[in-house]
Amino acid sequence: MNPLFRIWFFCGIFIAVALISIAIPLLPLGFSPDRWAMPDLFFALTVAWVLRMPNSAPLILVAALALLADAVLMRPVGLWALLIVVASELARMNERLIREAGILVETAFFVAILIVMVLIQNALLFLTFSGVYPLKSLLQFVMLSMICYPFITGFLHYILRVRGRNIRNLPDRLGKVG
Amino acid sequence: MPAYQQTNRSWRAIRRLILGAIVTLFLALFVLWRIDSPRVERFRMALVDRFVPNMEWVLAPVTKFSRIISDYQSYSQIYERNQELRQELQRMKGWQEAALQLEQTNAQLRALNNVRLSPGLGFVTGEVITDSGGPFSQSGLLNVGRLDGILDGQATVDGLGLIGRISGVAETTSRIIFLTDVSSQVPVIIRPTGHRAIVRGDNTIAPRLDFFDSANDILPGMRAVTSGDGGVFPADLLIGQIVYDSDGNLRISLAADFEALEFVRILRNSPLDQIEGAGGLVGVDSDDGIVQ
Repeated sequence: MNPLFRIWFFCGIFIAVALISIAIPLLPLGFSPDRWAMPDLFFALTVAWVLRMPNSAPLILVAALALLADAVLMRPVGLWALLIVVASELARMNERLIREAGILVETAFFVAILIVMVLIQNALLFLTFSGVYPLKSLLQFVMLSMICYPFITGFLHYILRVRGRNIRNLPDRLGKVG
Repeated sequence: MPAYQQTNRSWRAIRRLILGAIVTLFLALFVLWRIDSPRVERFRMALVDRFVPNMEWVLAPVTKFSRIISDYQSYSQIYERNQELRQELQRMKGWQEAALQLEQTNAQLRALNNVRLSPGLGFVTGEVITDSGGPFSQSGLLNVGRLDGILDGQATVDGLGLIGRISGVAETTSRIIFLTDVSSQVPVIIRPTGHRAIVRGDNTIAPRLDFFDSANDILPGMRAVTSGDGGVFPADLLIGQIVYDSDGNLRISLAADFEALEFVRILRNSPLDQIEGAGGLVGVDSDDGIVQ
């Protein structure tokens, strides 16, 4: 496949999958407030994708989709989107380091960054006198997102065939191979 | 320095610039949301109005599928269900007879006393198409909007009880905030004692009862209906029954069935005439204030 076409093609797939991941929490399956918190599928997808194919999930696209998710899912507009954008950039910068370390470390990175994001979010909401999120649902949120993450990476790898370059045989920053 | 390193460096600078711009923009949006919520909420509703109808093709099959499964589960207990319904029907027939007789007596007494009732309510029926998508706000999206005459603040009921109010209207969709949401506070009257109280949502299935004057007179099993105070809801809409929770607080067991919300009614109450002014003293001349 022509590399430029390949990037655009996967860019389109990213948009489609991201839109679906935003729509899934909207399913009207029951309105009782006692149900479990939905995991953040969009954020998991973005991190997994950026670690595999950073070129086809550009910054501006991630930002636009995150803002859309904020608006549609009734979150404070801009706050969670901001955190997602910064986190995805962090993942992008450390792409190689994280990918080389394997799926366990990758999931750990995802969970760590998610916890930090949740804390920053609640702190900012508290500082601006908005309602903060209850601890119980935040715990559910982080746990479910953690469980979803490996499945999303599997989905990307085996079904959508979003696979990173084979890192091991590329020269690193100093030009060494192997 | 080779040319590709040059471009690489300038590209990185541009990237950093874009990231900075996005971060600033989002922070500004968040601050704007905090300061000037209605404007941002309108922007949000416009986005939702665009997005959600386009995603129907994803939402609809999954929703249908899950409903088929839950229907199937109810089929498997169809015999017990049938028995239950038959018993219930028998009890209901007794009640129906009582209600009819009461209605007739009521009508006679009203005619005797020349009572004027407030005008009836019109309604629009809509379907709940999506959930709020999170545990943090209890709301849903309806498939009717401004074009159908929906306005902010209108009361929404299912077949039996109040479920919430409209908050946020776009052209073809609108959002309803449920009674269970933390931002929902509804003034109520307890029947039959006539005490006034507030039903306050706290993200649990049974909202709390607050601001009543004598807890001893309010007992489980009494019914809470909207009082119409504040002018948001029409009066006398059923909310639910009073129950104790395990800590001994009074809560409301909602009459509406939140597990199976599908079609809801949005009540269109014609706004009542407002009484203006505090009413002057009777018999006082308005010019100099001296009693003639």
